[in-house]
Amino acid sequence: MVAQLISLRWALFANGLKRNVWQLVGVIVGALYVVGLLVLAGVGLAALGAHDLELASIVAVLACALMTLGWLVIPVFFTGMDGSMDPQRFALFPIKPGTLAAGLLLAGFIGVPGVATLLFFWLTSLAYLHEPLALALSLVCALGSALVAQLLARTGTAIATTFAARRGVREVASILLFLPIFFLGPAIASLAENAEAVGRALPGVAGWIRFTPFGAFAGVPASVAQHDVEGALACLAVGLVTLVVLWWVYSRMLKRAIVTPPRVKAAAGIKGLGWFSRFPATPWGAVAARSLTYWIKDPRYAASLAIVPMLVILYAFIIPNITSEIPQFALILGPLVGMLLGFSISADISYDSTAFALHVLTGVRGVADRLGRVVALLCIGLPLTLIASVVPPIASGSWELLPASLGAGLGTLFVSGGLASVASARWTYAVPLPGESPFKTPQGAGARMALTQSALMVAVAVVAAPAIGLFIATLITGSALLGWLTLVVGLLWGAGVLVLGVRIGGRWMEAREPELMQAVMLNR
Amino acid sequence: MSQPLLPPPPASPFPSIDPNAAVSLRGLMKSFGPKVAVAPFGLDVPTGSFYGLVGPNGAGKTTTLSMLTGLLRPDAGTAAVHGIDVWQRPLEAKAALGVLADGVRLFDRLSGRQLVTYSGRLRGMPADEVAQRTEDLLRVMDLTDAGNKLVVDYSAGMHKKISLACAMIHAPRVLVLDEPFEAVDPVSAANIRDILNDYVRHGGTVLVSSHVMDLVQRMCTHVAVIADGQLRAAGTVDQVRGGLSLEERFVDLVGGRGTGEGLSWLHS
Repeated sequence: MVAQLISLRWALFANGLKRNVWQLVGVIVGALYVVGLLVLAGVGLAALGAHDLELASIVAVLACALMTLGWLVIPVFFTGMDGSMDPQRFALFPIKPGTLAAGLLLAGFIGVPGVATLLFFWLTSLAYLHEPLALALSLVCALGSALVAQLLARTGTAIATTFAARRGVREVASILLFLPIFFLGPAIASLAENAEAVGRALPGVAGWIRFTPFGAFAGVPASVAQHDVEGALACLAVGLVTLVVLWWVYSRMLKRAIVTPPRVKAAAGIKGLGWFSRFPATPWGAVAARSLTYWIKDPRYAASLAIVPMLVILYAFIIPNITSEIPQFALILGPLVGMLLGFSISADISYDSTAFALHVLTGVRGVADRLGRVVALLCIGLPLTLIASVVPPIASGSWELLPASLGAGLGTLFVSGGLASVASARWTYAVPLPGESPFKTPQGAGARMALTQSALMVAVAVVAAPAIGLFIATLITGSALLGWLTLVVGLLWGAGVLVLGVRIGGRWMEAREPELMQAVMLNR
Repeated sequence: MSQPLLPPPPASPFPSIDPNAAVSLRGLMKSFGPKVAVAPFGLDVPTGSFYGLVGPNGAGKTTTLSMLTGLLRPDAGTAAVHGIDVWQRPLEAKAALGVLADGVRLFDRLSGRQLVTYSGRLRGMPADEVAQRTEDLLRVMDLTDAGNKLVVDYSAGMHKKISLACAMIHAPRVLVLDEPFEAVDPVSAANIRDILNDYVRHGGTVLVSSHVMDLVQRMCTHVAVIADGQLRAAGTVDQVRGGLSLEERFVDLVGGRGTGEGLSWLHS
């Protein structure tokens, strides 16, 4: 039965790829990339181990602990677990819970992340290439580490989902997630300042982390390599206890999950017409009202906003802390935020999924469809871009740069929105379906999405060149005239591109409606 | 009625579209890879008829209707609504059509009331007319209480009903309904049938796909049977069934009944 569950997972994985060549390409590229990175890291570790065994073992322990921690954090907050093997799906089959638990756990190794993790743990053994006993132990203990990682991911997500079953909680949680990211900025900045002190602390960290569940199995060979037998035994004990406890929790939760089908509580209703009463009763007004409702209600759109605070942290806190050579680095925020927000409608039809049929069936004009989506984007994007363009010059006390910053920020927002309006009428890609976790990327979708988005990013940079060029010229010369010129050119040029994008995108959409429908039908 | 100005190419085995028919299909064809989903046939749905399109699962009903409604581009052939070619003049044709598509999502983060309003406003209808008709539609679909609820929280039957409301808000001349009664409770189904009958009596045309033969026999004036993407029979219900019940006639036409040798091991 365990073998059957594993082969079922394999069949699901393989069939999922067969449906779409692009996904297959994506998975292969992703796998090659990961394997390449792992092998490079392993070779480096082997070289280090030949010279300095102690340092190599410290690195190995820390790397394993970090990987295990990643399996706890990333599925819970970002990707979620792949739902194709949810325990509830096996509720109607007479399978013993213990067997089901073992089967599902082992099936978790099938797929790129599972295999890559196992490979990763095995490759850390290269640190002990000259210590046969430690090497052998490490190869065995790698299995233990991998099991702990899988168990942590499963118990973690199971606990998280019991909390997140209510729709409101899920929305609050995704907002709460931003808070640690906010604090991350200053934290990394201070780390970077004290890099040496951190470097000196690492051996100590490796010393105690091997007695925690995260580094226990990796600690066994590390301790043996340093002839610390008691330490090795202690690590082994911690590791085994961790396995037993986690297994117990996991199988108990699985047993409960089988008999309690997930229930999502109904969301609060909407009295009246909501945004529909605030937009004109025209086709484009309707599309704008609908899009804005989705921006607020659909977590997939919120996720595309998540990038904004990260950028702020990166450019306003981290980079200025690392290098003080470019004092006004934060000025890049305006154009950058504008560009990224403009992008966020480039996947709009993919997000609509087959609900886009309503637009096709009602025969809404392409221009109205594009315009409505742009208006909704501007409702969110305009204030954010304004803030990102206005705050940095004021905060750095350089008022004279304000017009240029505004011109560049708004100009890029408009250009980016215009180009995205064209792009989303032409290209669709596999995105999380409505109602799915926004962080759950369909297998292998990454490659195509990355390709389209980077092409779009280059296009935005090229088309927005007049505004950005003038902005840079203003920064270099400090000329007030150039600053005001940036504002005028940015606004006019951006608005021109936006209007053109809406028109061309609308025409393309009308011509390609059936093809767009076929494309969204495939991604189900 | 005048003939179309341009005659169809002489190679076409089908007569030109009938401008008097509510729906006129001429040689629509679609294949997915090597599999022919719909083979060319000609079909006219007379104005004022209640037309049933029946066929087994996978016969090509939804594919045919998708090509009629502009959701799927045919490999060849034409479709017209009251003489308006769907693929030449899509906007005019879509204005005359009300469609309940099967197997597509709805914008389910909207409330039922918002969704119906959205459907009306997308068609450019004035606000007060949309508001009035939305309330009427919610009432007859028995969804007034659920009007404020998000569509994502609706049951399968409520999904069908709200989609039907979206299809009817602009008072189309032709309703194309793909499996409208699936999962709808008997009381609502009866109410919807009354609405549709009333609509047909006052000059509307309904083209409905189903595989519930009893329902089609009771409800429809005309019926077409398709199987394996081919038209097997078409005409008034009485013509097609020829004295048999529609279900018996359907099984005759489509074939595929088992030999009666069942699963002996299933007997307890």
